[in-house]
Amino acid sequence: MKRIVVSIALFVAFFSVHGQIDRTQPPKPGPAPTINLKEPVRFELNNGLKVMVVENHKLPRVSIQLTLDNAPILQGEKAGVSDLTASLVGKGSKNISKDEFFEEVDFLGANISLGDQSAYASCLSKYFPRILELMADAALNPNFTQEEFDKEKDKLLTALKAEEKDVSAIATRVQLALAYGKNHPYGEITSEETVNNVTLADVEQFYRANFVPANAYLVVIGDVDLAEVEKLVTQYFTPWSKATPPSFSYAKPVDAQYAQINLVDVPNAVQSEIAVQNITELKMKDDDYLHALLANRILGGGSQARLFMNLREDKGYTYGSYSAIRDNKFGPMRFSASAEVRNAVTDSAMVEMLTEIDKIRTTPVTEEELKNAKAKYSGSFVMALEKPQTVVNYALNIETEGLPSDFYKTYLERINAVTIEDVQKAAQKYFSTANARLVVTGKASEIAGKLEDFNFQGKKVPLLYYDNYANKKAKPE
Amino acid sequence: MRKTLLITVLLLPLLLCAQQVDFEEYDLDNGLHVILHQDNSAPVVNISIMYHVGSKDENPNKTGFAHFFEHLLFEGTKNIERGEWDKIVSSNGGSGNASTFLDETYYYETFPSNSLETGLWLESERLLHPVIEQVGVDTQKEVVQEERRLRVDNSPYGAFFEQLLKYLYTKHSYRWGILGSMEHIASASLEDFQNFSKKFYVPNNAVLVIAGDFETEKTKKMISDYFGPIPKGEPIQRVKVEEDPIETTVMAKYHDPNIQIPALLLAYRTPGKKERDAYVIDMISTYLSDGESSKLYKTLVDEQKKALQIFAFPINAEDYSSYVVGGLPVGDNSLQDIKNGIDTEILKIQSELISEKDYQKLQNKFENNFVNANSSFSGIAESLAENYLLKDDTNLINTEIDIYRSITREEIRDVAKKYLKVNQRVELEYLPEQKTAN
Repeated sequence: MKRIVVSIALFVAFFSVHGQIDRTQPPKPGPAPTINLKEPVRFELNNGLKVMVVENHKLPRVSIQLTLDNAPILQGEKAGVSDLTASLVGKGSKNISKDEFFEEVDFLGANISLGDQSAYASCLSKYFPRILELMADAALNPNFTQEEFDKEKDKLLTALKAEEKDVSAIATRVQLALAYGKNHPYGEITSEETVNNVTLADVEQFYRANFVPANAYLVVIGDVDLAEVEKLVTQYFTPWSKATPPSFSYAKPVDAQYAQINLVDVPNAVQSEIAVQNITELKMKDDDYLHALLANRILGGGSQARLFMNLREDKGYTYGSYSAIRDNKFGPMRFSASAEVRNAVTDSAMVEMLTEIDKIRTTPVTEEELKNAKAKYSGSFVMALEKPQTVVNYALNIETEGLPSDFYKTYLERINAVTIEDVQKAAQKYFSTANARLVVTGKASEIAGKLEDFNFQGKKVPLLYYDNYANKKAKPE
Repeated sequence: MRKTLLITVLLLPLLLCAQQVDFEEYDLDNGLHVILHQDNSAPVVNISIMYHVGSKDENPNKTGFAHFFEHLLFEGTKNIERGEWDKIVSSNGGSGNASTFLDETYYYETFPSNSLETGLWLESERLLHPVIEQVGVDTQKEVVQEERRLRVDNSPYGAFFEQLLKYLYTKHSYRWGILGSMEHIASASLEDFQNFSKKFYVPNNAVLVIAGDFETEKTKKMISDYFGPIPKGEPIQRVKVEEDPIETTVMAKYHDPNIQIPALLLAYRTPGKKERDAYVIDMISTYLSDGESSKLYKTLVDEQKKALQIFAFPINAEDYSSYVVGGLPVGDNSLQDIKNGIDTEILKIQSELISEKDYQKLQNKFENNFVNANSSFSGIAESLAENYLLKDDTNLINTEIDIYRSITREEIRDVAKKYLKVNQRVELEYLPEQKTAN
């Protein structure tokens, strides 16, 4: 007893004598933690479904994810058919009524949600067999009825109506349509008119054509036994008929011929949503993929990046300004720098955004910026290991993006090898001011005046007007 | 039969084991409470501090200070120059942020575990000698106004939280919400902010949580080195303001220029989050609106097709919670149709016991939530901090599930009867902006 008391006293004494530390400098990090990349177990069914399993027994739970790695789908005059398909799947199946299905899933405290080309479920591990069975049944045997179709169509039309004055929804819609074109899967617009073109038969057809196993991956993570997963997945997914999804052709998106402002008038807006955007072609397997990520990180990848430091911390124009570069194996994507700013500083913010994009193209980034950007990527890579999902994401990327099998094993090394010159080259290749579209969604009566006379580096940038659906319109009187 | 029994016996301790979140807690001499949760399964560590100060602690003539102050504390310290904070975090491969709510302000970073010391240095600097100067105040005044425009003025349904609080509370300082008054912020002086810091940003008003991969003894020593020298502040006097009960329904309207579809919101004043009845309200809320088989979803959205969307959620807070139920009508349905539908279901909970099966369903849902709540270091850290600071029991992270398990069907009925009365609520019609008459 006595000894314990003494040790407690020592403990307290130890705490009240504070060690001498140097507060004036950031502490040096300890030795880098060792990284252990595990591999998921894989198997494949005869119909082409590829399965990956990661056993993780830390918590008594399981997640099940089905992903279809299909090319983007052009919906055309029936835009909305994918949304409607997504709303109609996952409501029971040909074998179990909607009410019984939801009642059972909720009763087990589980979640099952289906999309037009995906399915996800999570539950406590004790319910895994039944939840996998219900998810597979709902995914493979959907019960499309006219009654449900009419109801979901009503809801979709109401939801579209709800967005009519939503500045952010309008901004996103127009930005995408102008970047990709309205006849492209990523640019096409779902409207009341296109939704009214969709019938129940269209939904059935969409599902039959696209919900097929050719490019499908099923991932099971959690407190499961591999042999049991293999047995149950084989049992529930073997009936899925082998098929390949259709392919679509559409015009490849291209940049504007010259830099221009595209103004969308939303009279109720108290902030302007600005996107400076251009088209890029970037795939994960490209040699300069990491260079492009680092360039974007330094320009606008977070709260220590240039856009944020300039537009928020220096000027106080915005709550946040960021940039995003997107990769895609199927085709070109949009690079964008964005900010929501008050009406009065819309033009000034645009100048700053263009200036930052121009600067990272024309002037080398500093050693310190590159070092910090690399540290951020390395750190995120290490921290991602907390989630069991990470090893599966890596395995999926290697497979679907056509990456070398050691892509993630050499990731940290390759990040570290990127030079200042690499970053500048990537910035020049992927970011543009000369062909940028400056899509501004805001209150024209307050901002158009200054935008009419907008100059960048002594050159006038023309102003073009668009409506809420990305149609060109005349300058308002 | 015997086989089943064996499996149960084997599985049971295993499950309990997996659920247990182990932690250790102690106080420094200056009153800083420390909680350590060690888990070396991934090389990641989360460092966070929760301060017991939120919008509720503001002077009625100086609202919005707590949130504004959160912004200021990223501006720099004696040893960290303005603009360097986020660079230090990211150059160590970490990420972090902060949030302000009615009762608390929470700052956190996650790092690869070899940068734990950097996290301790950052958070101790923030507490020991923040630099609060004019240039930072001026910049953040603009930034916070943009945040308000982004979250409220330019955002569909963005004002409902503030509107509900305004009508639910007449005396209590929950009434002005978190962002507060832009005029108050604009007219605040440097000295006002410095006083706010001196009063609330003291070690005896905070809890430090370290969760993840670290060595215990070494970490305790570092905590003592970095936080030990920070002087203790004056004790903070807290007076709970008692609201008079709402006796007649409060009818309110708000017009939002960013929307097209109106919404109906019914809000009730309910007990603070420590109270057992607050847990019962959580269960009622889940019963009404969580999942497609929940009562409100099933009747209003699925069967009667009156609602585009239906929702119910408790806003849990220290002194009082607020329970909100509402919906958006679909097609030609009216707000009155939504209200009638909700009232029918609430009346049922008040007059009959929920079925045995629905009760078991609720228990299963809460068991599932409980398992998933503790799945990340950052989630565990926040729960530990909140349980200690706002609920007075750190170990609730392991025992909260027992509270839900002990709630009976009779209690659900009685709590619904006690708090969800028509005459005790706010009815807010949240409407599109009116067209001006021709």
